[in-house]
Amino acid sequence: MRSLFLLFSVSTFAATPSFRLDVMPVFFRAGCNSGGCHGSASGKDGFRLSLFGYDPAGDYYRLTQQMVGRRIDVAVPEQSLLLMKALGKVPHTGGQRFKVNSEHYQTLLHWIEAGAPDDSETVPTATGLAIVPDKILFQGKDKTRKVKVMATYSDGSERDVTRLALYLTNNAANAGIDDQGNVSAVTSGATNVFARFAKFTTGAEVIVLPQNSAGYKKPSVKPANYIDELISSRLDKLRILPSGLADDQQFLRRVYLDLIGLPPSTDEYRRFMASRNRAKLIDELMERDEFADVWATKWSEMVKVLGDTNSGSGTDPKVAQIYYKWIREQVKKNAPLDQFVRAQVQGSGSNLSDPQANLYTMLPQGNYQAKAVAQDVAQVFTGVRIQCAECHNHPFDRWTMDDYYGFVSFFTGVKRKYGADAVEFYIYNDPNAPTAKHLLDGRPMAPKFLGGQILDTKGAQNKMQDPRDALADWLTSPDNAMFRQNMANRIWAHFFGRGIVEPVDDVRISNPPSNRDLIEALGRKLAEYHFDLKALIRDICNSRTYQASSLGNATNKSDDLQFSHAAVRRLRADVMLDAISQVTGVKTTFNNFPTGYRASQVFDGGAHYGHYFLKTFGLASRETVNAADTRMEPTLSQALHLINGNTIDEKVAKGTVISGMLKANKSPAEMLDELYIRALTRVPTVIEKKKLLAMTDSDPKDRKVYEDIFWGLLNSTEFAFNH
Amino acid sequence: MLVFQAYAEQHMVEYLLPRGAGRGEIVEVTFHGLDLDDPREVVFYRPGIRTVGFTSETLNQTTRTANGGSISKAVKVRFKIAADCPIGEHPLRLRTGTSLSEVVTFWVGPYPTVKELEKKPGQNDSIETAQLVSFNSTVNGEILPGEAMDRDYFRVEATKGQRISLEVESVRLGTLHYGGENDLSLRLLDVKGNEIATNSDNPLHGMDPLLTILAPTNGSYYVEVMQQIFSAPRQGFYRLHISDKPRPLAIYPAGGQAGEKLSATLLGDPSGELKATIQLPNAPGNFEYSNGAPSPNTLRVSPYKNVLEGEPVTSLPAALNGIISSKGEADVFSFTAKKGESWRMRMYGRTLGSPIDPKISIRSSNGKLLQQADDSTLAELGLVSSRGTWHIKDTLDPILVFKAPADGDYNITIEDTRGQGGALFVYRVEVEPLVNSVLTHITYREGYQIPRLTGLIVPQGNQWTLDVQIAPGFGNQYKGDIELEAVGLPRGVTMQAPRYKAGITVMPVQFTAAPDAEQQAALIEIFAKAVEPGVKLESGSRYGLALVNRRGLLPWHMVFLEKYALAVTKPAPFHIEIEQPQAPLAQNGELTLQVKVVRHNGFNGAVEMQPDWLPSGLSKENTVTIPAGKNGATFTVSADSKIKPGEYQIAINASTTGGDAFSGVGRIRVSSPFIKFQVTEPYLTVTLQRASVERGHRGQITGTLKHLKPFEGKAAVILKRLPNGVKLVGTVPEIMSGDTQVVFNVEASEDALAGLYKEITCEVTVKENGQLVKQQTGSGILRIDPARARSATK
Repeated sequence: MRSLFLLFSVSTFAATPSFRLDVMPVFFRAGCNSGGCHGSASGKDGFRLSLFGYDPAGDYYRLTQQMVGRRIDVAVPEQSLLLMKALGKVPHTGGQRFKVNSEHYQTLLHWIEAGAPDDSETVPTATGLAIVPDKILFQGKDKTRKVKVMATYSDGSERDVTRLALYLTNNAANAGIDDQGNVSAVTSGATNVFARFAKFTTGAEVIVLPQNSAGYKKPSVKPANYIDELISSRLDKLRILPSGLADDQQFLRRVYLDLIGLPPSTDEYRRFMASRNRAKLIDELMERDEFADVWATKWSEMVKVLGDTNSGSGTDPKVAQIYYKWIREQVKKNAPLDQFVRAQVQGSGSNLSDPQANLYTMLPQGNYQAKAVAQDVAQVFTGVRIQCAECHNHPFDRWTMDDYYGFVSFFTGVKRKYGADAVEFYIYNDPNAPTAKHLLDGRPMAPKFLGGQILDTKGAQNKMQDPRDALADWLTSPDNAMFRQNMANRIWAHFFGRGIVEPVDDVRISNPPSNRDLIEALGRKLAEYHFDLKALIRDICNSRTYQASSLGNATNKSDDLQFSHAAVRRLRADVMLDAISQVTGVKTTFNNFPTGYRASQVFDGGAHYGHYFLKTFGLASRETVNAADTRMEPTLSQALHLINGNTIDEKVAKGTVISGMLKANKSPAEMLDELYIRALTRVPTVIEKKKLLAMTDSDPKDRKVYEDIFWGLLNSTEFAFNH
Repeated sequence: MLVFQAYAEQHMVEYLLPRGAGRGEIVEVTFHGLDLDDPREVVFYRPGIRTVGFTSETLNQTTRTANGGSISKAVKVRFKIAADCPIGEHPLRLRTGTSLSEVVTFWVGPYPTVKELEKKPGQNDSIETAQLVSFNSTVNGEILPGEAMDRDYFRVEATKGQRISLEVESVRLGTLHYGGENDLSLRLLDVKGNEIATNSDNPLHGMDPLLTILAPTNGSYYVEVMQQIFSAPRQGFYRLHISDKPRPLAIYPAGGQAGEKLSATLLGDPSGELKATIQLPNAPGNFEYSNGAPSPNTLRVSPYKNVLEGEPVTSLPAALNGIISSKGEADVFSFTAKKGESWRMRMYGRTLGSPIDPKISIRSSNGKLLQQADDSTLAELGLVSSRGTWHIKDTLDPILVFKAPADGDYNITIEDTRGQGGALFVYRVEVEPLVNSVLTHITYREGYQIPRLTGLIVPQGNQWTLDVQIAPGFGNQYKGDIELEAVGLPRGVTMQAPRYKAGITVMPVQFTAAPDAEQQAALIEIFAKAVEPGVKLESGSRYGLALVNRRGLLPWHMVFLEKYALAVTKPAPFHIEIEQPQAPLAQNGELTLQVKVVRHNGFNGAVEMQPDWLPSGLSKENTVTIPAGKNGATFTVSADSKIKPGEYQIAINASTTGGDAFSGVGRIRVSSPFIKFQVTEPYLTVTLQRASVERGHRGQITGTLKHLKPFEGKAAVILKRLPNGVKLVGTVPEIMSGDTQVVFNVEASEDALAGLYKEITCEVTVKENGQLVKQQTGSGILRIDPARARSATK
């Protein structure tokens, strides 16, 4: 056994470098095994390495055995193609990767000189990675700082791998990092830098304070609850001042649109403006049926509730409706989120009489594939995307192929078959079904919790049990930070337009939360509340942070990560359509739905079936579980549709809002107020009033003028956005 | 979409109204459809309904249906329903002077019928507007079309403890052939509108809801009927039975021995288990038991004894009965068998409406798993007239043949595949010796009812031909030749069926009505008989059809009949005959047939020929039309290279024009009598040598001949499938028996596309017995090259 000292003294070789410990990191660091180069599935220019080095044994074979005497020439090591190519001495698509005097070159050369040996079976493996320091603050004239990267090994040893690690930054606009681990400040803000080595990624937070923060003083704002405390602590660190509170009209519109997916009616406006009790309003709105509609739709998008009349896979529209109804009932009765998720993950039985089992009809939307379902379940319920690890260890996260196939094995026992008719499907567990097999060596993989233990399936008792029961236990446990934080983050994102981790379904080490303390606190609170959705929403909506104005100040104008002011968010497609319908008093009809349904009640979305408005405004197609499927960005076709399309035009023309007021002999000023409150939840400003009333002077009863005003309000960005 | 268009078909009868009636009632029924003139008879598949007095009318306006059909005619007739008429579904067809309709259904219940009074949506959509209905009556209702969702409310007055049993027929009514998705749900509300019970689907009736409870207090109760999922209602008819009679959800045991008085427990009643003594009939098979419920429970009647859960199996055959009463329960029966003994085991669980999804495992006494069966196919269950996309509850029940590998004891384990269990999870396994059985069926490949392709309609003095298929029953061992026998043919009607050689499963079969055969309809059966002496085959006739067809070929309601209906209709205005060919048809060859139309009574219209029924290996020209006034045409059939040499018989079908060509609705159809001809091996083969030709020039293609069979005189040989721009020039080459080579002169035009052209072939025309016999042979390659530059002297 080699002395550890020698083994890890990369720069001063007295003994043979190890293939796994020394040579493989060179391929990684030099980019040889990246996806664009030899790490591509089919290799590059006839030579393949495993992507990011997930398969050292295979790489060793390909280097030393596949073309004997060519890639590696132990007789004349310098003539090895491996070295000639890396130096750029012979034509190499990747050009020169390093120089003769570099450590990388020396490592490879010494290894070949030693006969290019494989490692013994006892070679230690990396077990962890740390970046020192893990918090960096740039202040005043500070411009650069160096980090050190330390790897720990299975034999307890530690090694400085700063020169072997790969580096990246989350936001080069704030701070950069070079290949020697030198971090440089760019502009003020917070970001993270990362080091990757072996199968590990680890990060350090970098805060760059503004140059002119000398006059900064921590504001004395009374926090409404823990959310505000954690937000202001974060803002203070960054020398950002939060915006003031939104006024009652702004708050009213915001909280209605967020909680029930509709703007307040004029009556509701007046009632609230008389009391101005925000906390009471929040509680009232959460008891409305429309609150259940909003969340039923959101969960339905996440689990792909989508009907198909042509379906031979148990996803008939009837099934979609049954699943949606069940989801809505859970929201309506405020079923704890852990139980809500547990029921679905464990789901077995008939897709008609056991609605929660439809996780296993809707996620697959066709033939059942355990891998695809495992990926979706991980992404939806933990926010983690494990799909990379199907073919290689995740390059920017901790997931390995072992994690991946272990997790897939929770779902390999799920069997489905036709039930009693063409619509019914049975979902059940087959205890004798084989588990997933590892892609590389085909070994069967026992079920393994993500980042956790292997499930004991050996005992006779366990053998017959559905591993999904254990999965549900683990997943929804209050101790499972991944689950509780994912749920909290998704809820948070609904009210702020972005998650603390964003995208909400791409949780990874290299995509850290913008406020770690906050996401952890929200997760803990959710668990403490026994996963009560409304309790967490109550905290969020009552926070000063949620109720902040969308107007920025000098310090927070450019902040879009730290929730220092309310974000201006375009309305979701369904919310916008429902808002237009409600404001104009003209209902929308949807294919295959009776009249009277709102867009947020269309159980399988509607975008999939080509409802033009919903599709154009980015309603989730539900073809994937990706949160990004709900598109929120404004587009030209949306603007054109609002201006030229038939939605607003037709509804304004068909509606009786204006004719009703004319009939009731309302004054132009009253009518103007009414239209403003309906559309924008506010009364017109003095200037608006003056200008618009002037239009009615020639004929105060001219319906056309009011229609034009109404049309203008509905076409304003103020209407289309929640602010 | 292609699939959709394939069913853009028309029907003689789209639907009839009302959708049902009560025992003892007389009701005027209206058939809606096309081509309904001259109604003569309603053909019922079950006893108990008589008809009186037809009238037919043309409707003021034509209504289009979802499948591309239309409704322009109506026929009214009164149904007299006998007091002992079997309850449930009554399949029937309408015979007119010239045709016989598709199967449609009429439903009979035990209670008097009440009409739903709602004329416009909204009239009975709330507790306040609910229509009062008395117990033990049946509402004929409709979910009315409209943009709003129609809900129908009915009120019953119940006393505390009184049973309220509700049962709906709607999907099973199968009102429309296509697009009648009317999946309803039921709710029972109290006077305050609180829901007391609800049901949408259940194991007994599938998508049609039912519920049974005891009234908690004296007072009014409200029944709400609505669509489970909104779908623009089309003929959204339903029948709602409201009764205070027990509605058993399962019966244990689920059958007994023929003739016995079965002591049974009726399960699922809200008052608890009910005991009943049920007199079983003497004939084995299904027995429909009802003691006041609006639909029967099906029980099995077997020639052998029951073994109940917990009792030993003392001998086989036997019926094993049990209940998987709790989650994960497994029932085990032990039996003894001798090496080589074979037993057929057929599960009856879900088939009879039990919620079970049963699985059978057979183990040796040392616990070794020998065999396991979970689900079955329709064909395995004997429902051979069906499509692969049809799903019915019966297929959840397994069927298997167990052959004992050694003398010894064996265990049969019955479990629920999903691990579920409950008080209603009744099952019955019938263990019987194997029997040889072959079934016959008439099935259009898409599984739908097409009168032209599945109807047996024979004009007096004429013929009709269609495919009759055969399929082995489960456990059949007989693999030999089959002949068919028809039973129940009306006097004057005969069947001509060729022998089904081993391996052949479909053949054209011809029915002939004598000129004096009475115009009438009959339910007939066609049985398969073993040609090998001493082999006894069980047989039966199967006709399966789907109602409520939908996209995805996944229909909702299937009807399986065990008889065919045949109608003798008015004489057709023409006959058709094929002139007996004197020459044989060579493999890979063509035969041109002379077809003659014999016109009657001044009929002068066009006649379309469609030989739908050709033995495997023969194909046909597309439809050939004999124009109005003409009396003949030729029709070419071709044989593929794999058809077995031997004697074949074919007939040509022909119809009047007009109406709908695909379905045949509105047309009169006849067949020619069969003609026989020989399929022989080819005379010769030609091997074409690879050749090339330049654009704007001539070239030669040489073929080498190999003679297989002599022919007389000269045979002409031409090239077929030449590329565009290339043609044969000069005289057509002729060859004689014994020649070794044939040379073709070809010329390529200036604008022929350069390239390689494959599959150029020869057509050889031989004259035999004065008839021209054509044969295809060879597969050559021709290259077309650009013209090369030539010297100026050219």
